Amino acid sequence: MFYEVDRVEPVLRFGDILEGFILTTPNLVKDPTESNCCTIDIDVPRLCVLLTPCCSVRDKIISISPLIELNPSFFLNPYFTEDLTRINREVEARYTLPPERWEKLPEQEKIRRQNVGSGYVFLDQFIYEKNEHLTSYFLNNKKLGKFETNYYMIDYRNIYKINCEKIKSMEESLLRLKKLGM
Amino acid sequence: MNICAERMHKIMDPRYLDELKEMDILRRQETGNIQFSDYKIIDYPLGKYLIKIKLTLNNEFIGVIEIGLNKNFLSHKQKLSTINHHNVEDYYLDE
Repeated sequence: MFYEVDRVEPVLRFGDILEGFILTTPNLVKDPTESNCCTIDIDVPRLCVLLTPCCSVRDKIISISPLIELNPSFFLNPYFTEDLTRINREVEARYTLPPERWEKLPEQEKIRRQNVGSGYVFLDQFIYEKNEHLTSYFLNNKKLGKFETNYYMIDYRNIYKINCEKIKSMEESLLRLKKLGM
Repeated sequence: MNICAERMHKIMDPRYLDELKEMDILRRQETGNIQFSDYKIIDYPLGKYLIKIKLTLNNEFIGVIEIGLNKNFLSHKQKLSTINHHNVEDYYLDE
């Protein structure tokens, strides 16, 4: 099972979905040595994922990444559409592309990819399984039109540090913010 | 002969002087790092081979002890790449 179902553990663990954080991102608009060189973006995502291992949840610091909407193009591949979490696992070469794109590949390229064997496709992203606690949203794609999903993902390049006085250990932390455990 | 005389006698004996020198060396050695030999053996990677070479303590060549295969043959890039990855990002651009 992707999520803890029978009982949600009363500890914060790597991968747990949490709610209620404020994220800030500095955007450099000029050389950093110049004055007024950056703007600050503030984001309040509904849900985030804990990226600190449980044993490191202490000292008033954690790392999190916001749950974000999927790339609509993922749904062009029926192998992924059946189960988006397949993106998290190694995929056979012929299933890494939509069938019509695979067929159009030069034969040499097909052979090269098949020789690599099963492999990961999107190293920067991790897909979270749909769940009743995850709100549905609509996506748009030229080929697929408008469609609904409640799969979400995180992007590992999108990690934020949070300072909080209440973060002391994986047991003594903001457990009430835990929505789903993996 | 009293003890002091006995010790004096020992010090004057050249065989005991060597023993004293070795003891001095022992005193200055770190624990677990005692070498009594006058040579050392190093592993020298040469292409796909690993050669065990005997050298003096002054790094002068004495001889080759063993030639074996260097099983650590992966290149640095290969060592870094421990997972298979299919580059498909270009086929999934958001449109």
